[in-house]
Amino acid sequence: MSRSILKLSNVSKSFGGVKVLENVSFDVEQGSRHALIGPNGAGKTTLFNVISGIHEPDKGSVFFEEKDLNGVPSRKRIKEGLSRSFQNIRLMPHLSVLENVMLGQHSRVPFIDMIKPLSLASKSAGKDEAIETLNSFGIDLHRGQTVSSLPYGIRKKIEVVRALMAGPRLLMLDEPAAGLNTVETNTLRDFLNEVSSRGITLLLVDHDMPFVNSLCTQVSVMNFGQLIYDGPISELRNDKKVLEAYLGMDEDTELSNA
Amino acid sequence: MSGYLAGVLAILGINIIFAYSIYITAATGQLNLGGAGFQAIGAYACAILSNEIGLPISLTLMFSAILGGAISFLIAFPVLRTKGVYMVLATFAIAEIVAGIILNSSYLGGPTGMIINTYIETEVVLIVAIIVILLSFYMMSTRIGLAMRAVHDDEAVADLMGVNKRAIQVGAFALGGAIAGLSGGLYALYFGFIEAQYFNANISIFVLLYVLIGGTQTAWGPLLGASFFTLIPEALRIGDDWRFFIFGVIIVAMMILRPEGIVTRDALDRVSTRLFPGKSNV
Repeated sequence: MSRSILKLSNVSKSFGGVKVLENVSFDVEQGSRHALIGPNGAGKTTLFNVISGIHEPDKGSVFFEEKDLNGVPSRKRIKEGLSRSFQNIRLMPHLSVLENVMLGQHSRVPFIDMIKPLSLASKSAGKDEAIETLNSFGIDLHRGQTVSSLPYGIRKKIEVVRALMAGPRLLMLDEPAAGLNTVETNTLRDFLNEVSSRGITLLLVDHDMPFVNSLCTQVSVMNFGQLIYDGPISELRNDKKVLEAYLGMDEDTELSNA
Repeated sequence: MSGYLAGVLAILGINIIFAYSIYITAATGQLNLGGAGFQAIGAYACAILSNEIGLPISLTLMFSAILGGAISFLIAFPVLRTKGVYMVLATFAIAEIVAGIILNSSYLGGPTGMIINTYIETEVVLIVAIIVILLSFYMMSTRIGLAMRAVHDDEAVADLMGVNKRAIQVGAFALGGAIAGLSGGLYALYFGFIEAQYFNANISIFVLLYVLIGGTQTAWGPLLGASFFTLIPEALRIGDDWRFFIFGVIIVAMMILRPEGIVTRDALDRVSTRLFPGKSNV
């Protein structure tokens, strides 16, 4: 069995009296393409926020490459090799596409490069790498504009590229395919397949099941803050708890109430 | 150079430097309405160092900046715990405290002010202004400038990208205080007389307006804003008493027509695409 890159151990989180996460435990294997799915309000984004350090868990631990992340501030987690995108696009509205993407490299740029002017830094690996990655995603035309003027689909892609620029070993994507059309979703899948082939582990939340099915091999399903399924995506359809969560109630109950 | 022109240029230089002090802080998303306080610290430091110790001008100006920077560094920690309008009020209060201390201190001349016994020519003010402008442009063009603008746009995401937002905010606030101190030192040395009443709330409001009307998105903003606010009232002198009315109308019109300031990123991008087609902006 391959080594796990991310290990969640009994993670619980409440906001006021509301239990958003309850004893969530699962492993994400190194190099895998792991999906986290569940109905709205299941706690998926909160779990992402706990993993990326925006929230500290009330109980339990998050281990990244066997290191306990408790107490590691959110800004240092990207340096550990863990970067993410956001459910609602969180690009910097007043920065150009290229600047947004180059911001993703911040955690791995040596100090001497911090004080070099960006416009003269075309020879530096950072800028060339950012332009190349944007090109490979087909977004070179827009790199001088500020992002606020760009269409939704393109901004969504830029977020993925920005997260990738940190050179992560675990890339966490919160609904990357939401709002994309079929063509854009297919491009995204091809791109993520390519990312995965470079050895980067993917953990993604999405509601687009055909997209998740065609990309991921492992899946964890959450409902009301609890983990109800964790295993291969191929066996997901046969799981009773998952069917209940998605259909509201099981067939027997539904029939007996009728 | 006529005396009038030299005077206007010196005021322009001091105002531009002062505007950059507020801009550096505003570029990270923080509004400092206490500019006059930091300017006063620099001016009084300069007065004491020249009068009592007799330091050369270059050193006096350096110490004005260092003192302005050191004091704003220390107060950055409590002030930056506040956000938005509360931060504006906190910085405003600091300027009032500084004015209060000066007014009540006989060593600093109290309400009668202080005379400085050395002076500088307009050229010195302009040279320092050019240095401040160039350094500000340089800083904003680096990855540190990028991190500052990222903190301005979304500090939570900037933090997740690995930007030390606290260091960026404290650093920008302290650097802003240092530049304001420098502008105060130049003011003291150029005019040869300072009094606490000059460094009042109006000055703080005006310098913030320079920056907001000029635009906080690029380093061109404070340069244009300060020039606009200094030169337009002078140009309107032919209109006699109506000049303040006309100036007021221009400000209101600017706020309606260019709410994000005269210079914005997109406007700059359009201009540079037109002038240099094919060249991509970073």
